[in-house]
Amino acid sequence: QQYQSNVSKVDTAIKKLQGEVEERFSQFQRPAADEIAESLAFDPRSVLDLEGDTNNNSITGRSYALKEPSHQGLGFGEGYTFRSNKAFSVSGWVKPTSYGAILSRMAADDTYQGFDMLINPDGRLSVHLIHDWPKNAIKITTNQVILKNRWTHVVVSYGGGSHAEDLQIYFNGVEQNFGVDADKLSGSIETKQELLLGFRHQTPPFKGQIAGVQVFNETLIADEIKGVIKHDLAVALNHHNAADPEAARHHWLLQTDDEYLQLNRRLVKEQVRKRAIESSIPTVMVMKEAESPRATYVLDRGQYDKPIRDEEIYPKFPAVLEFGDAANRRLNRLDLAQWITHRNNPLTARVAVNRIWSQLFGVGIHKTVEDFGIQSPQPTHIELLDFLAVAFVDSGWDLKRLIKMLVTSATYRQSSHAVIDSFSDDPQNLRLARGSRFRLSAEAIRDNALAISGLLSRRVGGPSVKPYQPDGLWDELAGGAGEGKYVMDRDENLYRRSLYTYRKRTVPHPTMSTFDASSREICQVGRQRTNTPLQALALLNDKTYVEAARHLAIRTVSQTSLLKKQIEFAFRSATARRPMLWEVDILTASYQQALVKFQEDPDEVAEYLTVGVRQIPNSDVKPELAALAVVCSMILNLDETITRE
Amino acid sequence: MGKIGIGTLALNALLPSTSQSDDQPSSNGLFGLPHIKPKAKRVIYMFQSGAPSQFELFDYKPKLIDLQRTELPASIRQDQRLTGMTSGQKSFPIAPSIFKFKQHGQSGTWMSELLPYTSKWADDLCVIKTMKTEAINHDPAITFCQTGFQLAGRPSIGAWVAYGLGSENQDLPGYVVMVSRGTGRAAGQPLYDRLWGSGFLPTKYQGVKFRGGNEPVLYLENPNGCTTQLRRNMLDGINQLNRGRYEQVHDPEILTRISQYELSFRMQSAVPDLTDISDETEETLKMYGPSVNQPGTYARNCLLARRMAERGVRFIQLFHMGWDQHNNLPDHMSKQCHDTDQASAALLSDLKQRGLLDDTLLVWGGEFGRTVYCQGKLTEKNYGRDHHPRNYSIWMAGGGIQGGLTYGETDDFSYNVVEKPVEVHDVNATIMHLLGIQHKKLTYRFQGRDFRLTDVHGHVIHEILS
Repeated sequence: QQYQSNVSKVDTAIKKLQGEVEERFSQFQRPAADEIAESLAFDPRSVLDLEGDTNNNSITGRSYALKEPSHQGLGFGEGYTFRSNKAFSVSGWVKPTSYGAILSRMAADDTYQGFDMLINPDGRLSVHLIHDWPKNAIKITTNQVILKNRWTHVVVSYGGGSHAEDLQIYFNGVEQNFGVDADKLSGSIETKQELLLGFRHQTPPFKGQIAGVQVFNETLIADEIKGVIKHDLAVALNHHNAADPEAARHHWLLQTDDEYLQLNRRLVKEQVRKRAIESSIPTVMVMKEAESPRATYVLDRGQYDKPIRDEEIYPKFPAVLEFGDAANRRLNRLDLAQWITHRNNPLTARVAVNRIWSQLFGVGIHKTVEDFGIQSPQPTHIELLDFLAVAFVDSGWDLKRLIKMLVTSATYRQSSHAVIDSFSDDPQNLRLARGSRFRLSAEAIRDNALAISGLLSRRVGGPSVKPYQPDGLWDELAGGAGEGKYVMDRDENLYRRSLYTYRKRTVPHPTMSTFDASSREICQVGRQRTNTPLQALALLNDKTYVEAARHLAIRTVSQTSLLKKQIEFAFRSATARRPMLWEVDILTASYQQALVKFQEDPDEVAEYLTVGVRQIPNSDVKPELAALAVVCSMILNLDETITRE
Repeated sequence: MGKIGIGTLALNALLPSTSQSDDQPSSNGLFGLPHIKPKAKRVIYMFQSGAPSQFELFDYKPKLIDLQRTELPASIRQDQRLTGMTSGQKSFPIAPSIFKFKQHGQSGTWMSELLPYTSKWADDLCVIKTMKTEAINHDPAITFCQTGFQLAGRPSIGAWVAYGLGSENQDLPGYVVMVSRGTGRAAGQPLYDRLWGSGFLPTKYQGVKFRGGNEPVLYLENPNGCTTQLRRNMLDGINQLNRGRYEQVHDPEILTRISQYELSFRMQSAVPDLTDISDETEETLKMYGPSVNQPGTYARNCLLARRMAERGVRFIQLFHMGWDQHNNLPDHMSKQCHDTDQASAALLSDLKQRGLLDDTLLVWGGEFGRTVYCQGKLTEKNYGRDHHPRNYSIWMAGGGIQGGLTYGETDDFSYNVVEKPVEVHDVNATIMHLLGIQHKKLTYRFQGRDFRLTDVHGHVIHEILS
């Protein structure tokens, strides 16, 4: 609601400004003859002028239309030779319908040697001066975008000094701020490749119109650019049947009428504000039935491009499984949803109940949680599964109630300690003669360690985060494709639950796959639980766990100063039970061994206590804390810590 | 300490034995495997990612010289579906290879001047000229080679082998992957971890990627400030505590955990021992070429592959990127071959010298071939080639493979197979066969059906076996 009122406020402001702009525009009077004459007298001193077809509907009356879907640009041969050590400027008008390169003279190989002006897919303008991409090149990108379906006058001016600071970009005569993406040019940017309008190799083509492209042998300053713009417009306005006169008038006013310019700027500001509000509104994907459903046909031998037009088919349930009200209409997805959850269809509830069961007991009543088909093994307790499914449906599909029923059951509350025979007779505990005992999932192992150490962030929701990950994993495979480099998050985001860890399917987080998290390439309901040396290495050496151990030690020290109590506290935090005497003895011995080592070598104390980004005060960097951190690392590595008992 | 007085000595008894000698059966494979007597104990698969052109390496087509710049006949193209990169071309001019071919060895195997080193071993190679694939783009095609299916998600060949046969060396992973980048096309096609994934097989069978830097295996290094002695003490303590827990709850999984922690410790020395090449002779290093001294290069990976083979790693797979020559092919192919030819040949001869070639299977190949027609501008000295799935060349050598053989024939345009087509499934079935696995019998049940590497296809190519 708040969003709505904000949007409508902005809308009102925009409407009002639009009215004012129109009002001002309507007062436009053809500039006096002398003003036009003066503009025409301005000598642009261009060395290359690419004015195109006169018949085009253009702001300057003459332009190139680049419309074909996969055109390869317009070639101008040698055209102009851009040099890294010579000043030059490019001026021109663009009206894009689809973004691409405005102009390029660039080698068609992997060096990309040359110069271009490229409108990125997001509308920002990039300028490249390249000797050998990406090692030896300048690249800058504007903050502002060039809008589609509107004329914009663009100038790129270069001073010849081989630095990003030698570049200026102007949109409609206004200097633009830009970001520097690369600034390391030392070689030549000359290439034999011809000058192309509207295209650069290995990039989708620019579509729309480009007009009045001129190249100058020097830099242009703001006044000169204004001159160029007015000159172009004067030509158009002077022409009796100039095409697109509205655009020409609009731009003329922008250059000559300060109030018009200010109104337009305010209008743009409001429009930006509106977009910002709109993009801050959380969105939800909604599916809707098509007004008129698409006809579907039997495909000849299953070939997707060979429908048999005489054999139209309609949504229907298998006849033997038809229940619910027989509808005399075309069925839709709501019918499907109702059919799936119909009381006479026990499968859905059984599958749902079985999944919860398998999460709590480690194995489902129906062992293959993803497969209830005739080739899967029989459920171990058929009546129980059915009872739970019916109770679940009767409760109104109440998950919380189901979980409560399961965890308060006598079966669930059994001890997982058992006689040896129990494990050898029934390794998977299918007969439920003991409490289940199984390793935590990949996500839970990390969350658990963070929680024990006190580092875990309990914040709920929000976008994915990027915790610790060894350097270079994305680059060495994907070469930085897609999202580019892996940029580690900071602060709290390093300690969010693993649920929020960013998932790049092509290069998943290594510890997730090491601990059997599914790759998400395919639907995988049941996970393996493997036990491998790589898991040991991860828990012992990954920053995540070394840092967590240190913080468990810090937490422990804040509780008590007595070693025995400290060990008890840390142990209990991890296992939810007090250690037995022999356990305290082993950990105490380990502590003493580590302490002696750390006392011998203070450098190692400092190194061990500074793993990870969380820093501790220098006064805490002591052998005692390091030794306790070692003990905590051992505790986090215990089978009991990573196992649900 | 009472009943918990168990030190490392006693713990060692719990560990699975390592078996590097020949007469001991390899541990942790499946019961009943190998199905048949294996001819190869291990595989080194040199995957040339990006699809190397058959025209410039193995598939000699002299008749094309007279046809240069003529249009590819429709009777040859047969309405072949092209990629979006050339489907818009108005013309499909024939581009013969500018590289010279010669016959090599007793066998007279044709190879181009781009392979001066590999060609010396012509009599050890079986060149298959008639490989076919179903995919026309890189990712599905590599996925198909690796998993027998174009869509991602199934186990890779190395994972299947590790699952079936287990490892010969308990201190190292059974399936190792190494990646390198060529200079022929620096910004080439990416690779993905899932290409050596285990799919629905347990993740312990997934390929472990060895990296070029200081830490060849992720998380192998102790954290800063933790010495080997401190780590040993920690493990002793952890193992004692776990052992004590086992005495109480009796879950055998705890014993496995103890052995895996011990194994992790052994890996911490076994891996550096493997990747430290300081014990190699000058002569050996020279054989692989100068870039062997640089970690992460193809040459270094080839040398490491040999060291892994010696140590009993079951499935070793190299991925070398940069073979996607859509343009500037002559220049880029020269660079790619310069990066790889010497080391590939060195690996073969090194294995041979050490008597390892007899039971090590070598496979060299990419994911598809390239077109006879030119992509982009065709000049005297420059051209490019698009993707071509209908035929391409690979070679195999070593354990159980007949050397000096050129298998299959393509038409004069290297556009269609004329005789003896070989499917990707056939190669995978043959690799399995040589390892002693009947490819139809190694299955895994997932989502209600039995899956296998070769799906419902695959024939062992008996004609190329020795």
